[in-house]
Amino acid sequence: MNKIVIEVKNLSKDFKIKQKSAGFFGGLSSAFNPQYKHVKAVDDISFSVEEGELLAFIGPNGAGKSTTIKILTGILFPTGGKMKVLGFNPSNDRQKLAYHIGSVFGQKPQLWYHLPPIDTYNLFSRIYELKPEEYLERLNFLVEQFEIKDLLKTPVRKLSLGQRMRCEIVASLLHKPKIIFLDEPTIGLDVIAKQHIREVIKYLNEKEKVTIFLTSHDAGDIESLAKRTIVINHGKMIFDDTTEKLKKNYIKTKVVELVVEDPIKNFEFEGGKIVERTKYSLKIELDTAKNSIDKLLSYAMDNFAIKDINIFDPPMEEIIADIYREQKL
Amino acid sequence: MSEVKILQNGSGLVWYKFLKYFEIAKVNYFNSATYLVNLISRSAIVVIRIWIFTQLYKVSYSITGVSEIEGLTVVMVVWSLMMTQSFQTATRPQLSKLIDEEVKSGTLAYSVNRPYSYILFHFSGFIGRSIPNLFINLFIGSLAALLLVGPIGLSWEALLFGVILLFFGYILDFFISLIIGLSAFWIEDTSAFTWIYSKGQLVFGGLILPIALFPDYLQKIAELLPFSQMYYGAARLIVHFEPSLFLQYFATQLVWILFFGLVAYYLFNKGIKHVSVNGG
Amino acid sequence: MFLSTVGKYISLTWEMTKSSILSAMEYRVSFIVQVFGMLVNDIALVGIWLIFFQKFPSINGWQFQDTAMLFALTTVNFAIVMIFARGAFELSKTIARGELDYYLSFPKNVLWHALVSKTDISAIGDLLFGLIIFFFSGNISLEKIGLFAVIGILTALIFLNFIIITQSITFYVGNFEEAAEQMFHALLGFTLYPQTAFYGALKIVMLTIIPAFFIATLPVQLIQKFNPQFFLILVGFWILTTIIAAIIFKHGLRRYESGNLINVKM
Repeated sequence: MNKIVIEVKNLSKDFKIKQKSAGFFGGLSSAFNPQYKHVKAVDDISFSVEEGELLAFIGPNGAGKSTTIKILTGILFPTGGKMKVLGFNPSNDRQKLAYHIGSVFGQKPQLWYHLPPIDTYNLFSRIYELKPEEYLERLNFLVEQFEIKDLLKTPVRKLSLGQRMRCEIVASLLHKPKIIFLDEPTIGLDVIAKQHIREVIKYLNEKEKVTIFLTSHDAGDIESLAKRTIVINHGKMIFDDTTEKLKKNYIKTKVVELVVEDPIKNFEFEGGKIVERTKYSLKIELDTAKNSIDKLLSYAMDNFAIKDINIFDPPMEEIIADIYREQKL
Repeated sequence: MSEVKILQNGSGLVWYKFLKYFEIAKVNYFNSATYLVNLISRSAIVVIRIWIFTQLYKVSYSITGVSEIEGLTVVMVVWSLMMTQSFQTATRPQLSKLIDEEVKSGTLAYSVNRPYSYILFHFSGFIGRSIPNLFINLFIGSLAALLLVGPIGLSWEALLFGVILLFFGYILDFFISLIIGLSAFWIEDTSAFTWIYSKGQLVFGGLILPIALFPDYLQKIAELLPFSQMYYGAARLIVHFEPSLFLQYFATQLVWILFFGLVAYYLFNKGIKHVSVNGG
Repeated sequence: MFLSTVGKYISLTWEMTKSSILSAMEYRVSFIVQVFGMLVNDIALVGIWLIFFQKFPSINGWQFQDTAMLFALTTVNFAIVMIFARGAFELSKTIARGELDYYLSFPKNVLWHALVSKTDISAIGDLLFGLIIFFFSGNISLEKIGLFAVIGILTALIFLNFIIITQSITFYVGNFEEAAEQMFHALLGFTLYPQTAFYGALKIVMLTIIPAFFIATLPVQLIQKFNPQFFLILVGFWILTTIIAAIIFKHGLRRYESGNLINVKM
């Protein structure tokens, strides 16, 4: 059995949010007699993570994902419960823990915008107090693995989003963290770049046994990377199991969009329900239990002049709604 | 780039135009009025500043052994400084910064198709923001001045003509700030100009040392520059009214207003074309 | 152990500042404009006083040379803070927008990190001005230069503490940005007056709420005529303000981390 790196027991986080009334007199009254709204952002969650796991942590917006991650990294204090990350209590030993964890937030960059990545890397090597020889060795290794040799000296503002993400991930790996929190790493990237990043993440996890805590709204990220998925909603954990089970039980449909040369008059396919229709395009919701995507595509290409095809996963919200519905039964 | 045309509301009646700009001024007014804490701290600083001036000039005058310089007593000096500062600080946050941001973000090109409506729009905002601050500054400043140096005599002519100078002084400040903001069309960072402008106001605008207390040769130069004609002129006239002084200051104001008004108009038109050519 | 940590932070501060300056140098013209703009700016400020002292040559013993020295000292210590710890002026904003999270994810002191992450290029102009006018303010001896350096750094730290304290009030009150800025302008503005003109209650205000005395009057006096007891008072005030700043920030940070700030970003 592998070491446990994250252990969370009955974690809770309540927020007191001040209610402000509108207008000048409202503002005055709330200054003297403040009204508070209590929000349970994290409600009694428990789980543990073993070393080397690649786990997806998903949920709709406002579900408590970011709050949980902030608590695990020591940025926020919990209101109740116990937790240990790499043997540390994040709330007490935030700085010490910070030497061993890394984070990449898709929307909050770490690299200095006007400087080339190498400058930020050098700065980080100082902040994380890395020995120069070790740092250089590590840097060369990462540069090769992530193929960013030609990007090192280019100012970050001149890099494409995909290139920037690769450089950002390298930045978070320089100090050989044992756990990485990846928040929306593929957001805004095109299909090829997404694929590239996913390969890189998989490599990290397999080769270096880095524990990866991934949050994403992209079901594709989760399907291709995480063996285990935790779903959180309204602060509560509503699913903690293998991603396989999630797929089998809840990702039951795929949406296929066909763009055609000539308008389609009749579309009949077992398991396929037409959900949207314009003159030159068609959106079909396919029940993957009843039929497969390839058969649908063959049918489409045999019978119609297809110009373009797009395939979508059901949105995360739908998957979670399904889980919820199931739980209530 | 096709220009987005703002549909001017049906009735071209002047009254409705006025209402529109009045509404704009009102919005800006309520925006400033809600920041209670900030207002209070700002006022505290006004009080301390007047306190400093009082002590500084009392001591300075007594050491020099005079009670009047160029017709101004210590009481008049303190009141004029209080007023000059009240008038000037009422215009924060700076218009030039606002316009700079509009130019940089490109909203400028989309929001107008005629320069005078744009200029009027910003002028209403400028006045709208300044008025509540002005009254608060004057209210607190006057209380402080009353407590520290006592009252000054005010004649109705002083107030009337002073207010005229003040109104035109605001127009002058407005045009210059507008020009600085518009230079964002051609210059990356207009803050250098803003500094130079505010320093000019500091030195030649009588914010700390009334121009009347300058050595003679410098005084004459300072009174011809636009800086002294925005707020100092009005304050100086109010504390110690002299008809000839009013005429002198007013004439200087009008010359500068005409000059800067034309420059602003010209720059605006040139700037809009510049944006259209570059594709906005 | 403690000294090596201090040493590490000092060299890291230097690294951070270097990066900020390099980053700003990407825009050559803007860089130069900011430096020279500030130089002109400061010359104008001194200009008023030059004019003032023509009319009133001596205020209770305070002459133009004293104002020149005052300017030299205040611009230099202001520049030191603005170059190495510009983040202090935006602390209020950083707190209100939840941007401390970024600094909390690093294994370094949060306050330090928030302070050194930004640099003000125009402050280089201030530094130049301060050094130039120092050399124009009377008899320069090696001793005086040394004294100027030491006292400059000491007053810079006191100034920094004052900014930290006023900006950190945002932890408790929220939306204190503008007020904090005002207080800064107040401090800066008030220190530049001939301090000998103040008496009575105003002097007390200048001494405490707006520590102009400790950032202006006392240091200038010390440079013109050194006095060990007064120097100790200055050092004592520095220690006091450091302790207050540390306590207010640390306590405020705990509040921030409990997520119950008025503007909380979830």
